[in-house]
Amino acid sequence: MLEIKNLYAEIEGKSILKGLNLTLEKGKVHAIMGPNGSGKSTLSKAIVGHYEVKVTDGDIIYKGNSILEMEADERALEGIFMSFQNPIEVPGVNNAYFLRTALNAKREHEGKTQLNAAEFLKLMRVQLEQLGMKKDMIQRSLNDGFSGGEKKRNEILQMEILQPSVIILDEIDSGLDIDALKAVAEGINRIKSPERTFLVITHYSRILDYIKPDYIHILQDGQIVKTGGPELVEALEAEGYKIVGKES
Amino acid sequence: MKTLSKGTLVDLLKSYRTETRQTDALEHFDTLGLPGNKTEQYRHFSIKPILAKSYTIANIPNVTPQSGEYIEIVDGVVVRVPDSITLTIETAPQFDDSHFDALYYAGHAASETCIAITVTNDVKIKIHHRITQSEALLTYRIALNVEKNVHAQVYETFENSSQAEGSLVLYGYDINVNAYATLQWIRNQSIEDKHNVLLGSHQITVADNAAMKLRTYDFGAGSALHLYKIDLQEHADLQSTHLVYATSHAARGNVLHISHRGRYSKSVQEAKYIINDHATGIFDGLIKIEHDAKFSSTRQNSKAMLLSAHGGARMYAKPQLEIYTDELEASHGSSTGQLDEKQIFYLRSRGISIIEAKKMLILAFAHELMEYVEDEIIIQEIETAFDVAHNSASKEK
Repeated sequence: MLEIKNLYAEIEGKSILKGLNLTLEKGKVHAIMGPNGSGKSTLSKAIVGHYEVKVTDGDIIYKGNSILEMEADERALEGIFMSFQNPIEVPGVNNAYFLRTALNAKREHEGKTQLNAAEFLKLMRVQLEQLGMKKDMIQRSLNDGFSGGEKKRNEILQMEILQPSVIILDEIDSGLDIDALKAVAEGINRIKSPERTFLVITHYSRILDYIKPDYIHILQDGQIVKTGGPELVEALEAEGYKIVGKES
Repeated sequence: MKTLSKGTLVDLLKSYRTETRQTDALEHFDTLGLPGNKTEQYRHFSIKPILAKSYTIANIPNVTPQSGEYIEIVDGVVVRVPDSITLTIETAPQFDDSHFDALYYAGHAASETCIAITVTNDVKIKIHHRITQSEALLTYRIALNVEKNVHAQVYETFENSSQAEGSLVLYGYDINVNAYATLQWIRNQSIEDKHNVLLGSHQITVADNAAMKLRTYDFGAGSALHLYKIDLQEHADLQSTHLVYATSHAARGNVLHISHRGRYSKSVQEAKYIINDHATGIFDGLIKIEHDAKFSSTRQNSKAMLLSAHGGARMYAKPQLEIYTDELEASHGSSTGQLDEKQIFYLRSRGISIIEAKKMLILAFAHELMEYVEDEIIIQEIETAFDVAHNSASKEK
């Protein structure tokens, strides 16, 4: 589904990813764990085409083609989605209007007819209910004044509406209480499918109790240094990142 | 009668001097002097070449207005009036003797007549200005008197005929909002490139317990400057909001001198400017709390967004407070910024194109000031004018 080959990337001249290789399989949940500053967020930003990240070498192949020359919106239209660690507040932009614009851009890209306001609201109502979100949230400004939990639920709402193929969850569990965490995890599990790939970036194993990963990758100093199954989480919980040093 | 067929504004005033017309207005004009590039309120407007230019001096024909749905003024002549509106043409209109703007007096001196509108009952009035002449100097004044206890709305629109270019329109209002009356004045002004320069010099008095809502929407690639002297009496309430979207090489702006003269008078002023391409935005707002205006309150804020990626856009913001009493509430602020890169990226990361993302953010910035208008039809017209200005601006990435 998505293959990262020998990727080197920097932010403001500082080298962060240093020859990273990673293959994300279709229908699988990949979790990336790693200490602070190892490059987890830079990796997700590189995949979605964030303006801060400069790729200096290597490639990212998606559906058989390099995406490095594609703009962020083009990558999104092709089905790459990142849930932000800190979703951006956009005062004055109505949440529903924003989401309908995004959905219709995707539908147009896929050659489908656009949804009018009534059709879209009908779709939204169902999703809001499933996520336990208040109905008035769609009429508020995008993320403006939202609590941490509301912002994360709003990210999942966008994910459910846009139905992407590759979903990057960048510390989706940060700042969530247990109820919010469950609601977010349920949303994620709802759209799991054999056609969809997840990349879960996290510091803690808690979210992985709810979203069962197929693979765990440990990222350290800009490279994937270890890959394993869910058992790797238990080892990390018990001993921390020194397990990497022990084996290498 | 005007005898001059072509000349500058000063030439026209000189010809009137020999006719001993409007000598009081001319004296005030002489005292303040012809505005130049160093005159504070015109410093960033490049007034000198505009006033140095020789124009065709338009003769104001005698026209009997027809009945219509709104007031239509073509090149300074009223051609249409609703039957319900009391409109007269006066030959010696009153003017304020302490206005800060020389062109206020030039406009009075150069206008042979004044369009006088008296509002005696609650009403919504539309005034449509149409400019059809090219390279012409068009001067006219409008006196608007809203009588006691009356609640009125004036919606002002502008139209330039496609062939009309290079004219200078020097117009303005003298407005009295009498005690316990309210006036909402909404101006929707779109001027495209190569059209005419418009200078509006206004005087407004808001009497005891009266309220004035001034909502202005200035969009496009042509240049215009509005200068207001506003006096607030006891318990008078002013809400003044200004949305400007200037494109191409336009200079667009508002200069306001607001004087709190009476106790418990209140003013709220909000200005938002969107400046694109090589345009210039001007916001010069002076709020004066006079000695007798105890317990008054004022709030002033201007925000500007510069859109030009190559630094061609300019904003000159000058919010000022002059306070001559101790007991009051006052605040003011000003900020100039650009579109937020993080917000643009967030929208783009959901598949929204950069052009659409920028438009969403620009609209979000502007929308608050559009929402003040309650009339749905007027909002739609303002939004359409905003879209036209936005679509005509360059789409730099």
